[in-house]
Amino acid sequence: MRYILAIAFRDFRIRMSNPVLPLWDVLVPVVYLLVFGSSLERWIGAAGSGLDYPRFFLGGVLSMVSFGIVFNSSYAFFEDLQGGIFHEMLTYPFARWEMLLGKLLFNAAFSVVGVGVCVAAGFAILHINVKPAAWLPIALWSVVGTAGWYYLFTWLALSLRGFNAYHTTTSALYLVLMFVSNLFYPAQQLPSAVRWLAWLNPVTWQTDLLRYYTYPAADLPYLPFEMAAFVAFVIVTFWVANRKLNGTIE
Amino acid sequence: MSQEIVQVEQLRHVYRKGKVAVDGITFGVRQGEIFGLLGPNGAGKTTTVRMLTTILRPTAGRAIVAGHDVAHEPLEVRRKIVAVLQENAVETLLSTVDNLLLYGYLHGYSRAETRKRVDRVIAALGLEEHVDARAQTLSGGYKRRLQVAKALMIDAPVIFLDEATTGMDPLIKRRVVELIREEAERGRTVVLTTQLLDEAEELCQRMVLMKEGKILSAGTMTELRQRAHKAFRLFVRFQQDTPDAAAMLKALAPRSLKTDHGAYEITVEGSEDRWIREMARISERHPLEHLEIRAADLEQIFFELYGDIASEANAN
Repeated sequence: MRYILAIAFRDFRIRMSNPVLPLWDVLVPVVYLLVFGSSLERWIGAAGSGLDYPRFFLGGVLSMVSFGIVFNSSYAFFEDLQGGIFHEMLTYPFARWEMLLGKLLFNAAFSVVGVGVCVAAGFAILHINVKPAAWLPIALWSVVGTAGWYYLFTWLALSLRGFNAYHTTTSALYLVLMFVSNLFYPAQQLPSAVRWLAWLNPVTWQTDLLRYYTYPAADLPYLPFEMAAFVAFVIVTFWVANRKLNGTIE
Repeated sequence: MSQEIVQVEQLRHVYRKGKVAVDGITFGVRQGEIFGLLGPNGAGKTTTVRMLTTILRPTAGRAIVAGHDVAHEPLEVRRKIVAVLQENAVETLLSTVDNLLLYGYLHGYSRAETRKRVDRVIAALGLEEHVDARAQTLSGGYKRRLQVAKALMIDAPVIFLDEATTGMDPLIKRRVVELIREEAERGRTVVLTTQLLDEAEELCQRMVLMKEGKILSAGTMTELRQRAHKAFRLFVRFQQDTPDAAAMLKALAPRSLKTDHGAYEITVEGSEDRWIREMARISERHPLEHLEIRAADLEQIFFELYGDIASEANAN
């Protein structure tokens, strides 16, 4: 455990060496929530959809928190890889899985803070009341989501060669995963071809799991399947990332 | 004879694109020894160290470090080693002292123990000057010093140093060499890669010379000299330095000939007896004031084995 804590502390120190970046990671979802939550509410409310959009969108924003934090953290991972410190860390006296868990610990803790700020901002400004009983499950699914995304991006960082390839791939993935999902709008209302892609997107699964707690009135017919799929996604991404770390990294 | 703490047998590594970086090398390192892996860029030194430190998995062959197989017991190996791999392998966003503190924590030391060790290595390597400066602002030589300090903080029995003294100023380099020797005297084993021949000659008890993934020669300096095609350096001064005397030396077709204010240094091959006879013959016409025959140094052995590459290595 001491190694896992030391690795988490190391990532904390590195990210906090420029506090603007972590602050940005937390503020962006809050700004999304406040701007889209209030403006789209008027538009959708005027259209008579019956959707409580700020409450609906909060689940998406919470999903965005872990996804966004991991997306930015993965750049730090890639820089470590390019710089040489990553290879040196591979000679330190801990197992590869401990390295992954240590890095996850920092990102997961950061996600929980980000989610807490979003829930608080939603309550203070948009009057979205999330029951205290939901706080723990929200934190739990945020941590699980952070794990899945972190391991996926770790695997990408270890597999792709060169900054351009990495930047292009992750940026494209970021857009596709965020927008071909139910994060901003109900997946049921997407065009049929895109709708199926959205249902296969882990962002959709995570968002529905969080939305279950932030918007109990939401229609979530596939939630048990999404839960199973999302847990499987996390296990598979951990397995591939750990396998990659244990294998040859050239 | 001390027990071998690092055993390498037919070790091979092929990169994904098919490049053979290390091609079936075999050697052993004894406990408490300073052992050198020498060779020019692309010789396979770094790949060898990366396999021995469990970063890379061997494609074939076997390597045992401190009693553990690098391929099958990598974690046990990592608990017995400390590795300083590259100058740039520092936490660029953190200060010198924070780099060292973090290194201690990541090796399982408590806060108090780490602090004690950090203070010790800062003093030992004279790092006080930029102790609070971010590593990204430090010079290459200072970063190297920081890297060596990290290695000296940890009590692992085997130390791997990859080009440890490159870019250091001579006074600091001298101090680092002394510290490495002290560690070896305490029973720690040091495996270092270098292109600096004088450093290897000064530090290493034994060494292997690598080229294109293979070992060209291995052993102590004495053993290497014996295998280096009997290369000698002759230091000659005539009682009267004349063009004819110089011409006679040139006529011997030495591999190299340097002259400096009437003093000649020539590098030749063959038996020592033969060169004594040749110099006696020249001395009949041009009496000698001074004659000294020295066995090959590492630079000459390198030259012997690598040709022009040796001079490039020294230039680096």
